[in-house]
Amino acid sequence: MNCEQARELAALAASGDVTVPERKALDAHAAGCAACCAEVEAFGVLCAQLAAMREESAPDGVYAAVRARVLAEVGQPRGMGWWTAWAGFAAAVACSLILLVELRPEANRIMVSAGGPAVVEKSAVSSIDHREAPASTSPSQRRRIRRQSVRGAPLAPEEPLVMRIFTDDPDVVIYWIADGSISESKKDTLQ
Amino acid sequence: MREAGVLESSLAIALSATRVEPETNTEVRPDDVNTFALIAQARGGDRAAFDRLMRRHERLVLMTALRFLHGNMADAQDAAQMVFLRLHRSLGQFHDSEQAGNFPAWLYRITVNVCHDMNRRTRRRGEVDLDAVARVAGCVQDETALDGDRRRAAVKAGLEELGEKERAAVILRDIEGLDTAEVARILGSSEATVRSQISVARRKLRKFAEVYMRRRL
Repeated sequence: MNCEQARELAALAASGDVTVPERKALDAHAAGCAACCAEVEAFGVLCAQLAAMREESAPDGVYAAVRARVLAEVGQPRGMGWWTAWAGFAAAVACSLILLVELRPEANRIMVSAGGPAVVEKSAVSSIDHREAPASTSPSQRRRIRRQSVRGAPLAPEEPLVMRIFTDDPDVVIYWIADGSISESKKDTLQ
Repeated sequence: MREAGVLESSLAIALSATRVEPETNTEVRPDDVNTFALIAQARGGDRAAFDRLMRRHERLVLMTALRFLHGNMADAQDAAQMVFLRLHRSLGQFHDSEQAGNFPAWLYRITVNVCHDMNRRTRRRGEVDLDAVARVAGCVQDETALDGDRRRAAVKAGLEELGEKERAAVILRDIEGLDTAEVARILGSSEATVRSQISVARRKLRKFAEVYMRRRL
């Protein structure tokens, strides 16, 4: 055993962290090496100084303050856990989405559901129910709605123009009624 | 003459140090049974029992935290509070007296983890604990201190120079007096690693104290 190995063991031997053969080898080396013998002794002193620190303590008030803080917090009702908070947030988002979809205007719903082109049919009808026509359609929707067929006789100047718009959904039919003031050029375009 | 006296007392301390037997937690002691009873009462909502449980272990938690957190008492109090709150949430884990026997080891483990987290956050923020530096410097530079006090101060200052893992091993093994196997379990490493860390740390502390004392002479 050389001095370096002896010092490594000496550091552990001070607290008995060596095996019996290691301890014997260290003692044998230290018996013939004054420097290593002094090292063994010095590590013993060091361990004693560290062990003496075990007796240190803090003032009583410090402990009391910690206990008071803990008991105050333990007494309070428990807040939501992070997973509970996330579940609540997810539920709120899901409800909002459902409400948004349900409250969307009819026109928008058609735009979403209508996959193919809508069919536009014009007929000359003097009176028809007075449902409101769709207020507005987006440019993309307008692109998908095209005039397919126009039937019926030419319109009289004061006759209202009724547009019936079919979508892919058989339950959804849109009526668009223009009053008699529609210009002749426009009527020609529609016919 | 004075040197001879110091040497004599050092030898006496060294001999007494070699007689220190590490504590083991393999047996169920009366204290553990009492701890188990307190845990059971606290689990049932008895605040007085939880208060007694804290009183019994507050020194272990606070002083360990204080050493891990470079002597900063405010941080140590925060850490102790976190440890006890975590204990309150985990009371259900200790169902029998055998588990209550492992209770101190569990507390050490939680304390070490909380302190590591706090140290990591402080490092991430790039903060330097100037109070701790001043405390250590103040101890070491105290010219009027007696030789023994200066040696202790040098050891304390040396502890601050160690790496986190080495310091943890020394604090638990040498200051708290746990055995190597227990330290390894608490730190989540092998006994061989802890032995190596302790050996390196003690040699560094020895060197630090030696250099310091040589400068003072």
